[in-house]
Amino acid sequence: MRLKRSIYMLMAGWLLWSAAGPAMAEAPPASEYQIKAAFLYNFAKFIEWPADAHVADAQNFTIGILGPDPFGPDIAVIEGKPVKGKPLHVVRGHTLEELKGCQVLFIGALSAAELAQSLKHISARPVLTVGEGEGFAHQGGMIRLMTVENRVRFEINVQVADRARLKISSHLLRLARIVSTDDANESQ
Amino acid sequence: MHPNPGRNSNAATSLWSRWFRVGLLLVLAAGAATAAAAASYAGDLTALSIEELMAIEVSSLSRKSQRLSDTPAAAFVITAEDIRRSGATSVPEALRMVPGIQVARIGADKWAVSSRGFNDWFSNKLLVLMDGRTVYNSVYSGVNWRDQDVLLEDVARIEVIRGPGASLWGANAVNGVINIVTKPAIETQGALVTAGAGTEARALGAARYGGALGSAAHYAAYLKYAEHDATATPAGDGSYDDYRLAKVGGRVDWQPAERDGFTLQGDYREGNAHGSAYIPTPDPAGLGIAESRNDLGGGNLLARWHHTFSNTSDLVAQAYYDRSDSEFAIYAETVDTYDLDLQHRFALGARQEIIWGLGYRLTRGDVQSTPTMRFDPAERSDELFSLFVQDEIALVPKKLALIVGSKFEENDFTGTETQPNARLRWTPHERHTLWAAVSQAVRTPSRFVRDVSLTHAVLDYPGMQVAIHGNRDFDSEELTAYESGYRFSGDRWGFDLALFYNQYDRLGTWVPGTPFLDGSPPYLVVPFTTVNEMEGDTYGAEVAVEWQPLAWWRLQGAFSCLRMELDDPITGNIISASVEGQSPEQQFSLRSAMDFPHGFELDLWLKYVDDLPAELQHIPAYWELDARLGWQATRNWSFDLVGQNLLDDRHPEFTAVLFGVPRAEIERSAYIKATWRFQ
Repeated sequence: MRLKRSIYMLMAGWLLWSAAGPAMAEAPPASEYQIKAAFLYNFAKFIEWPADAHVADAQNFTIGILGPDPFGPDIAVIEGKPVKGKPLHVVRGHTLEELKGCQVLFIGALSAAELAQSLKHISARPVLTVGEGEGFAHQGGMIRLMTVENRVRFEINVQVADRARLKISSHLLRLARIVSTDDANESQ
Repeated sequence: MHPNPGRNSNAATSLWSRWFRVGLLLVLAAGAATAAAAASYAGDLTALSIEELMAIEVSSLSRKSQRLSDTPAAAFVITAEDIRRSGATSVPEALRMVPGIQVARIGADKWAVSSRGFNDWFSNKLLVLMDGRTVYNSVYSGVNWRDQDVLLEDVARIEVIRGPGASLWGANAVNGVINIVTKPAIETQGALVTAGAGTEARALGAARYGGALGSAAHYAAYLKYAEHDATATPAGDGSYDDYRLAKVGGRVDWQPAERDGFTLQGDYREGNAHGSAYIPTPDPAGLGIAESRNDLGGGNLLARWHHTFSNTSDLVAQAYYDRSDSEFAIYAETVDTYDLDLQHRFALGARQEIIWGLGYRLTRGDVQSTPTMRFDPAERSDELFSLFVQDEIALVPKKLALIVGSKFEENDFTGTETQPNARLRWTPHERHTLWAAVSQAVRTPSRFVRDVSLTHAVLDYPGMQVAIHGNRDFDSEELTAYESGYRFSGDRWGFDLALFYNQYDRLGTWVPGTPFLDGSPPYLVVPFTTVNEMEGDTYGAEVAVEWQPLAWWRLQGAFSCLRMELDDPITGNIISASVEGQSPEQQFSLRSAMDFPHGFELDLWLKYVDDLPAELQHIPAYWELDARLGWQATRNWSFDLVGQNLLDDRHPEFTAVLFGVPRAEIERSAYIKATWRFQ
């Protein structure tokens, strides 16, 4: 009886206090791009790079962001995390040249022509390409991140990944929608 | 039968402290081993698996995603991965991995599942929900697990909260709440077919298909069939409790706009089980066994609307109809439930988040009489009105929060019940959470304690019958719970500790009346009336540890200890000793999951359950081991080979002799399953 009353008094007191309290700027909890960053981290974990990618020799495990960066500070959730025994490092750049040593390349919203160019340049190189655009995987990108019904999903173009000798774990494949390169875009 | 010489309190204390020391050493060892690992800053997101990440709701409106690590309660989540790798074919089997939950199999189709003690065939202090629909039957106050045959591939997660979940979920969530959440249609797209066969799980089969409906909706539908063999008698012969159950279900999720979502889901089941019960016979020297084929069936339909006002405010409205037809050897019932619920969440000022809700439920129960059990009246309709409110106040933003709330219910038996609670959550660092809570909860009387007339013979005492009568004046049982806990989530290991101290009052017990002779030739009948004359305390600790020593090896351990000190002076503590002795004092679970090349997985699950010394139980402590070999052969095909209860030919876990159910033992078993997926 006494306990119930104390709890109610506590409740009433707090309602009065906080109604008069100062406004507070609260950092938003897990946002869309924090979650997509966590996906990048998981992709890195569940994919094996070929020996000549020299992942073992590199100091860091590097994710490069090419073009407009949709992550911003949200990428911080994965910065420094251990991947294949190395700390994860994120670099940004506007040209492929700047992002040479990356194991994963996130390609921001580029024009169709720029995207096609970039993908062609790094095709068959052991770099995991990730993007968000609607035709990304169909055009030759390896993994496309998308939001469906308020949840993050991804498509994988296994052909392109195989050609780059990246081994994607069956675990990841099971959860992805598998797509193949449109015949119209096959350059070979 | 393995007579237990009885517990020696010194032996119990030293056993308990030995376990505690072992547990503490394991935890310290785990900590020391991973201390050298790169301890960089880790948001909780990177500790989640891909499946968990895929299940998080996001929107460009940056909605808050509630993570279980933020819950100021003893919470445990069984993920879809946990279920898949456990080899479990039913929800109670999977619940064995949760600390603080007692799971005991009485027979092929009967389970005793409870939280923090008071375990029994129909454990009345645990609320179980499926997608927000209650499967706790208020007629006999318990959950009929046999009839809740769930398609495990459809389960997204099972949330288990030990301790009073009263303010959000209402009465009867006294010791815990289990919420089984199924996947939205979009997560079950494409085709899935599974088929399996085994020694105990005779046949398992399911087929599911999901697709898109236009551009904004998805659907999924499934068919499921399961057949389970009978368990064994203590002598090694076959019991008579096999069962079979077929189920069909489906779901449509429609998201016409970013802010509105609709779900329509339902299922229908039909099956039957064999059962036997001891019944009083005219011959006092012997006991008759009534064998019966019991039918079961039912279905439900649920509609839900979710509207988002802003990133800090949303509304959920839900309505469902549930019908359940269930028979056991000793009773049969039909229950219709109509339920309407509304829940609104919004921010108040800059520091508070308020959640409030309204609910209405109409339960119509019709109990069919058997020679053993009769309800008077046989048919009844009961209404339940409820209102709850909860306020989360950020005392220190992101660090210290106070949550206060209460549920108010008006029921046909005891009138108005108020269940308040207050919780404090302290997050000194991203990885550490400390919480404390004080709550009050009630267990409202069921029709069973009020209207029942249960007469049966007890195997151990031939020539005598027990007649249990309900009591219309039976009041609600009360609980005041004091809990606290600590949670740590690191890169490679996690630790969760919960402590509780529960004070119970007005617990139900039976007071014997004057025995009399009845029948010809006469036998002795001892009448019992249910009264609120038991009280006492329970306390304990629950630990869950997760450790990933290697990239391909994951360990998950759970340890619980429980002490019950109940008093029922009216019978000289006979009933309280029996209630105490039906829940184990210690439980331990250790799961090991190993991933090998070429898609092979080896999962081992070691379990320990302490003995049940109650007079009518005498169940010895047991160790058991389950093993699973999984093989993801190709992108579409996977296989499972599972062995369960491998350490003993057969072992008993619980008896329901008070309900006249013959003793049964769980046998060593194995099954093989093939799964084909296509998208």
